[in-house]
Amino acid sequence: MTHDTTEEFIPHIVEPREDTGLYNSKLGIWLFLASEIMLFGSLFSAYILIRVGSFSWPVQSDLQNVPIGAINSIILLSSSIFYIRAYVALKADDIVKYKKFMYLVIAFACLFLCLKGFEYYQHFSNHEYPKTSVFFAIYFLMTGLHALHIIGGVIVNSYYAGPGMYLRAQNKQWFINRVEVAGLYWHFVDLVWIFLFSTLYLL
Amino acid sequence: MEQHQEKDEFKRDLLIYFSIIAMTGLIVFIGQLHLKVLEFFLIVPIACFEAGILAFYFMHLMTKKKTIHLVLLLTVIVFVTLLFWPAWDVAYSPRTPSEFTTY
Amino acid sequence: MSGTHKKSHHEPAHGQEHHHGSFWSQYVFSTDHKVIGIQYLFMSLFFLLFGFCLVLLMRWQIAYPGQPLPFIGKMFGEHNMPGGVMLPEFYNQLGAMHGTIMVFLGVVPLGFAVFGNYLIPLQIGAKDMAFPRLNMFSYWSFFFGGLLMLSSFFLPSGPAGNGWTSYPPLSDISHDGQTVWLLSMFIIIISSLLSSLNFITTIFQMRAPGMTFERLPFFIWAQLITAFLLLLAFPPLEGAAFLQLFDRLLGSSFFLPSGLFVNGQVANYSGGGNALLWQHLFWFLGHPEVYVIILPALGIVTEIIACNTRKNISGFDMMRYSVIFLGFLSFVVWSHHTYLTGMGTNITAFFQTTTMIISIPSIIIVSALFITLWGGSIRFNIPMLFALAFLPMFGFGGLTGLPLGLAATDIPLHDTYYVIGHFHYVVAPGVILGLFAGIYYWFPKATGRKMNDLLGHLHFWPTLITMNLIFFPMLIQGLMGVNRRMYDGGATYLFAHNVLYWNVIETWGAFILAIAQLPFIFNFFYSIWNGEKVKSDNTWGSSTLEWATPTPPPHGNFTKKITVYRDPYSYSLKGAPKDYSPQDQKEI
Repeated sequence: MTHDTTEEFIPHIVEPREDTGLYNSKLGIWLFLASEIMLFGSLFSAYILIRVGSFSWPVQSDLQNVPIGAINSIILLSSSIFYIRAYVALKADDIVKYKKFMYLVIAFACLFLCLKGFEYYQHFSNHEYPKTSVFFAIYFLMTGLHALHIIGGVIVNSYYAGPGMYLRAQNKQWFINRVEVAGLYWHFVDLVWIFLFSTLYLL
Repeated sequence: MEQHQEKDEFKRDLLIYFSIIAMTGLIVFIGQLHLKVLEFFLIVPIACFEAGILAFYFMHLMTKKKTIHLVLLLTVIVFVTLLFWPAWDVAYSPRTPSEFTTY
Repeated sequence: MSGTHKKSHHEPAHGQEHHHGSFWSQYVFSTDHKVIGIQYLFMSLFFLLFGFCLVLLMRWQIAYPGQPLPFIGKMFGEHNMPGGVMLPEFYNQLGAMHGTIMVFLGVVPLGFAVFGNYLIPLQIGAKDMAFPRLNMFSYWSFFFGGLLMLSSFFLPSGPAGNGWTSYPPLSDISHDGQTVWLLSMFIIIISSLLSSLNFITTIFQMRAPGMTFERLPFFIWAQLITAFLLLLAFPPLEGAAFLQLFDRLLGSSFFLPSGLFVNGQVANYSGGGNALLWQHLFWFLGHPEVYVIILPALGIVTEIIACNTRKNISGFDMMRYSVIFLGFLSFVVWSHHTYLTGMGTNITAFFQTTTMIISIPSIIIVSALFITLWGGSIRFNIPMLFALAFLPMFGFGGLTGLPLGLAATDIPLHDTYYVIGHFHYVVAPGVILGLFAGIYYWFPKATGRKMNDLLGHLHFWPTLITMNLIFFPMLIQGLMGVNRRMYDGGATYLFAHNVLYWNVIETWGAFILAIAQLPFIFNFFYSIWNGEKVKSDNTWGSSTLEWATPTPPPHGNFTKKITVYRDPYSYSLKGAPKDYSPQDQKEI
């Protein structure tokens, strides 16, 4: 089975194709991100429709923990920067630095999840559940879906910082491409959070 | 030479990082002012700008070839349609008061 | 950018069948796009047949409401058909599952996943898809999603019965079958999204040298646009499915307005939701979905017509631009499905306009195919018969859509049998005939044997005639005002009595249509082992690349390096020795 997917059988896994300027997984991940934009977009659209069509809407910043949300924004943004540092280190063959920064990315992501979990706990203690109101329903759905994406990212990043390192020994450039592609996904998750925070906490 | 370029890129990334944090602080502040409709027109563009510079610099969007730009442009067009049409329709089509829902 | 790696075994020559893995890794868990395409083929043909059987049950009830179904009626249990007489709830469940299975598990996988997986690498000159393992994962997701959908039949309360469109508030409050529907749809959507990005990446990245976008066969263009439609349009339905799952499982009220009465009492929900939100999110997918249904069939028919008229497609450039334009436009017409929901006149006018405009590219494409026939040396083999039948049937079906696209005329026609007649015309004598054409056409390449011609005729003619017999009267019934989704076929309404007799004709047409599929089923399996062996790798004398492989194509597809020198439909070129000039052949 490994032969079918090596770069001898499938071209442009490692080196980019000349006319598109891309290697395969880079195009693949951007297409995937396009579909994710549409997914979160549909949820934002639902939010707008429900809010515009409603007689009254709560003052969101009164119901939300804005400081924690803002701190979470900084946490996720920092993890994005760490990811870039990790990628640069990987390209420079500095594996120790690469791993250090990847662990930071994962740690900050887990910190984000903890703070989110704390927020949810605060809401549940206040008897605020999805069934309480449409506002809470959309809040839990959108942040919950986003959190699932973070968990997915944590799993992938942990793999590439740990057990997946054997792939680097097999083919260095392919591994670098893989990390770059995972990084794009990670930045996207950060990007979605910027919109989530603005829309669900501040407006 | 490469090291120099790397240092420049790092400085640039740090600049973007702190700008986004500053802008986040700005929109939190604007949110606290409770400006009703105006806050939407302030916060959303700033958030879009934050997302834009993140995409452009961190995701290297500005260096990507036409293929990616094409895919994303198409997505954005479709996405904007989905996002704004329902709002426009609900806001401007005739509705009796009883049809408005409470949250 | 060094790519050093160790190989643990000796590497045989390129493109040769060297892979002597186990049965499981070669035929079940294979990453080869051809094997995956065939796996999809068996699944989707099964689902097509299953969905068809569901509607055959319904047709008995429509034609003879309240009468017990002979022989097999008692087999469905007292819960669904007491004494062999169908209950309305069961009728609704059959209807919802017929639609869901036919669209999401039958026609779309057949057109997109089967033909796309098998043919895209072959027609662009690639060895496989860009992401072979992802491809395998897509198939198995589809398999499990489909299995989950079927399993809902075994729930105590039965499968979902809220129409394939699952409108709330009914779908929000109905029984468990709807939850299983939503979960299955989620898995099927994932499968579809991953396939789409695989196809798009493959088409962009894996074209053989010399294969520019202009030299791609129209089939590839159609698949490319279809993949984009699936990639961008499915996620909103995924979002909507999450919203409905939240409503059903966590008690939220995304689609439940305040003050909703359920069973005579005010329902215990927070309210604040909007049932129309689901409709818009659903149709945002739903409309591109119908173009997803039609485009692969258009691609297949184009290939067959070019090959069997021995000339280039007239207006090929216009067809390419049209299909791109169609793709864009398909995202901005969805609300012609919601004309009667109380939309404002401004927005209705907008969607009416875009709907009228979108008919233009479709007309250009069908016209181009018609015009191609003029002056061609037409060979009336079985694939060509199906492809030729597709043109007027799809054209007619499309025309019947025009009154539905105009809001004023949609008012009396919405939710009547006219709509059912319209969309079945485009899908059944339209798309499905096109897909059958594709199966007959590429069967020799995939198996090395031709399907039997006599059985092909026995399949084709009754199918074509009965499909018209079933769906044309529906247009008449709809114009008379007979509503859809009524389990007595309209018998309760006085104004429908003049046209009720058509129900009986339609039902018997459906039964004969079912019998007409038997020659095909027999032919398909029989010919795999006993069909007439092909004498050359290029059975039909086609110029496209998939015929430049051994028969059946081995792992890796091509036995020599491929370079593309000319346009895809290079038939009857001046000065050429044969009436076709293969794309990969240097001399004309």
